[in-house]
Amino acid sequence: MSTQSFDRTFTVTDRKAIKKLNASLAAAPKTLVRQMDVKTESMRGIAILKHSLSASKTQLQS
Amino acid sequence: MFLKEKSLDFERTHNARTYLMLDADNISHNLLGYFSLSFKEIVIGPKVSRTKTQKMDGFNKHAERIRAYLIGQLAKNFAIPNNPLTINEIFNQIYPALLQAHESVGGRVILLECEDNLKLVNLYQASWFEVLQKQDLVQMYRIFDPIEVQ
Repeated sequence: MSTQSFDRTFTVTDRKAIKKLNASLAAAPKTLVRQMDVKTESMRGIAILKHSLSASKTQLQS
Repeated sequence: MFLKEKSLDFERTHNARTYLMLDADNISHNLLGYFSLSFKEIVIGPKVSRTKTQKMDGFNKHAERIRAYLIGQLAKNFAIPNNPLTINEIFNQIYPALLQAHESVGGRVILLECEDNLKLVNLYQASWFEVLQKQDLVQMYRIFDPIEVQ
């Protein structure tokens, strides 16, 4: 993936692409989303990262 | 490269959020992958008739833009031997984050871009993404109509 995507404008002019997108929007299947507390997961991740980084720092010092 | 050089700037400037996927059981090699999310608009070009735009947006006949989420980065750490992270698992982590945004500010489409590589395109197609158009990269989309499940 390219970081250019963040700056790019997504312009669609091709009629086939528009038609396809149109059809998808008209009959979109549901997106199943796993129940997750993103904030809690985020805090858990920070704790794991801190633990991991302090462990690697200890390894470097010894 | 993105993770080291850009992700913090993007975070500070609120241009994107980067999420790390960590393995709690492996202290030394725990970064399994990451993804970055941002938002975009799909601009419907001047060749499109008002009627078509109306159908696409579904509400406003003058709309020429569709609100979309961008998966700007999506990466698996191949330096970890037998990294168990799958594309499905990555999307299982992405969708709850997008659901929060969806509930707060709306948005209908998820966008991503990838190299014009058949294997890669097939991988995303297996996750319900469709090719929108090809430029220097392949632009893919999926309609985001979320329903939360256990």
